Amino acid sequence: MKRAILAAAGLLLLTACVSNDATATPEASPGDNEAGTLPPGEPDVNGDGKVVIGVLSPGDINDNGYYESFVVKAEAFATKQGWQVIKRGSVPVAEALSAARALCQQKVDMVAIGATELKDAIPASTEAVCQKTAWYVPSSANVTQTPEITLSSDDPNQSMLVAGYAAGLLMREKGTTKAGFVTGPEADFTVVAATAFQAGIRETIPEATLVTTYTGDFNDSGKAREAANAQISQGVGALYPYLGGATDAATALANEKKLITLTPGTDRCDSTNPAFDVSVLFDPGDYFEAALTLFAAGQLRMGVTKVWQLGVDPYPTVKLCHGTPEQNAKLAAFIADIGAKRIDPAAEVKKLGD
Amino acid sequence: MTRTAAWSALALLMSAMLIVATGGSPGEAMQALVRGSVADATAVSVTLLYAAPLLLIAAGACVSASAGVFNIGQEGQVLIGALAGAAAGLRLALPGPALIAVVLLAGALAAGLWAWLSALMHRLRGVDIVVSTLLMTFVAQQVVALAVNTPWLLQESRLGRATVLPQTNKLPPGALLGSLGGYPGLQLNTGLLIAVAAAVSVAVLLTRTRWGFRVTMLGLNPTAAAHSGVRVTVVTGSALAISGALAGLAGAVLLTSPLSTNRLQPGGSLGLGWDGLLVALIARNRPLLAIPVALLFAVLRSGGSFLAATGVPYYLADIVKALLVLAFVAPRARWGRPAVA
Repeated sequence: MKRAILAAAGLLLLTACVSNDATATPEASPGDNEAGTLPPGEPDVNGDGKVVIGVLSPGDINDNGYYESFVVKAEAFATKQGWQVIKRGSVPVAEALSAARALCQQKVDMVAIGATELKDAIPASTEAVCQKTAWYVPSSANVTQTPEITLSSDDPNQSMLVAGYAAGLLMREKGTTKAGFVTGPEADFTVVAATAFQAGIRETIPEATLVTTYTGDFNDSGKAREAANAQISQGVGALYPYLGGATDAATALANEKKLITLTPGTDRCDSTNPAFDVSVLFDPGDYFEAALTLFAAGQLRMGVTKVWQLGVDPYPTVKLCHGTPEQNAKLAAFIADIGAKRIDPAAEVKKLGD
Repeated sequence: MTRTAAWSALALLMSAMLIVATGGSPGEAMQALVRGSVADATAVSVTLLYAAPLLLIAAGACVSASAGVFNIGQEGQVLIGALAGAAAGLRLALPGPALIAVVLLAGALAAGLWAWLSALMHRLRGVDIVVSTLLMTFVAQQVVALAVNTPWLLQESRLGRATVLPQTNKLPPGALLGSLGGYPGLQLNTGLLIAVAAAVSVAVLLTRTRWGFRVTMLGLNPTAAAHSGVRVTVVTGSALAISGALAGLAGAVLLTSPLSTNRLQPGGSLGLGWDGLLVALIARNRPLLAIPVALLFAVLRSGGSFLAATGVPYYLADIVKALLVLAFVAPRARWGRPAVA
């Protein structure tokens, strides 16, 4: 018995550990057809005489913000068209694949994923059960294009740099040089967002500093308020709640202290409780609505990526809720310079973000 | 029995009222549950895939409960099992069949050891096992979060410009459990066979072996068991370790099953640890009775995915589960004083 155990242990040692990268599996190839393919019969892709859109979201679909917007825009569009929407929020990332399969089993014509965290659902697009289904995937995390999905992408450097620039304009007027950034998990995309936001502020206030807190959860209002409180006590003059369901809780606290506040994705300049000073628009609902318009017209191609350009397309963009004409003009000029490629956001972030 | 049926009917009635209150139709919701869980081969396959880890966890809970030890840390033990399984699957260059065996074994061993730590804490410092197994769940969650957020541990590799998420790489094909039949047809995954075998083994172990007799005696009366020569510490520790090992095996099965994304992710246990514990509770710690109860819970899981189509929130399936558990536990309680533990 002892010999068998020793032999097994020896075998394990002999096999040696392999590096993590050795098990990295590249995503599927995008295919040869750059123009993409039109699913037959679109929008009734499965030909059952009705159109059903299935939406999966990793976040709270009642968050008054990023995640909710995706569903609300889809429902509004679908209602106008007489379509049905099946929505499921707060899908755990580990359940992405089975949740997508469940949608296909329910004979949806399109599976729409609310955010890149659920990218593990994409392999279902090649399975038989999802064969007669179109796929829409937002791709801020550079999901690899495959022939079965249409991707919608933007450059977070662009919108976050401009968000920082807009915040900087208001901070200069207020005479503050310290801003706060409260977000969820410390992931690549949140780190990129914080870095670009800081660079944007420094476009107008070179000596500006940014206090960043990762609460680990986009939807935990308690943690968000705790983080906002800590930042307020450190003297921040602006607060960016780059959150999901916890956005309003942190913003309300910032409102009490009369801090400059920004929205994480949607236009909430009309909101009074909580109130925002800057609307940063990278609303996934707007991108999705554009895709649904094409889908309704039978023109949404799979295997292609739509890249949304700030300063070129209507979205993403940034607007000051109560800006002076001078501030609005400066912001518009900055956005136009990015659209015309006179400003390279990536280079600016690299220069000013550290 | 009649009382249990009455309480179950009351639970179903309350569930129907909740569905109506959230704007849904109980009839449609029931249809959706059936369509998502048993209506066709695909649905049945998904149900069976959920049943496997639930049954393993429940079988483990039966062992510890029989010894009078209430292990409520299965959620963390599932995570630790999945973590160890992922580490073995991703880092060991073994040929196919050996790799999956090592993945499952690593999951069971790691979680068994993890659960045994609670017995050790109890032995050395008198720490309550219920409290320590529960608290160790939160430690397990943080350990997994650390592993999938640290590039030199298990975080996924960066490919080109792709954003790296807090998760591991996908397990290689050799580390995945095989199936009879294929998706979307009827798929009988090896995980289910392992789970049924484990439940039967636990039943035999508890009722037909000397060790099982000691465990049962310890559970019924620790003082009498000690006087009869049962080594309480050893039996308690081994029961807890077996309970944890089966939960860890469930984590490894879940990780390698067609149900999952085949990578370790925070929250990858999908709350099955808690559900498995409830399965054991309803089955009254009888491993063979846990088989149909695990299937019932799996039906609620897989059917729950279809609830959204009826306008009923997904989480309502969890409420139905909770009400059913109360329905099964309530008849044992006497009004005016708590149920006997």
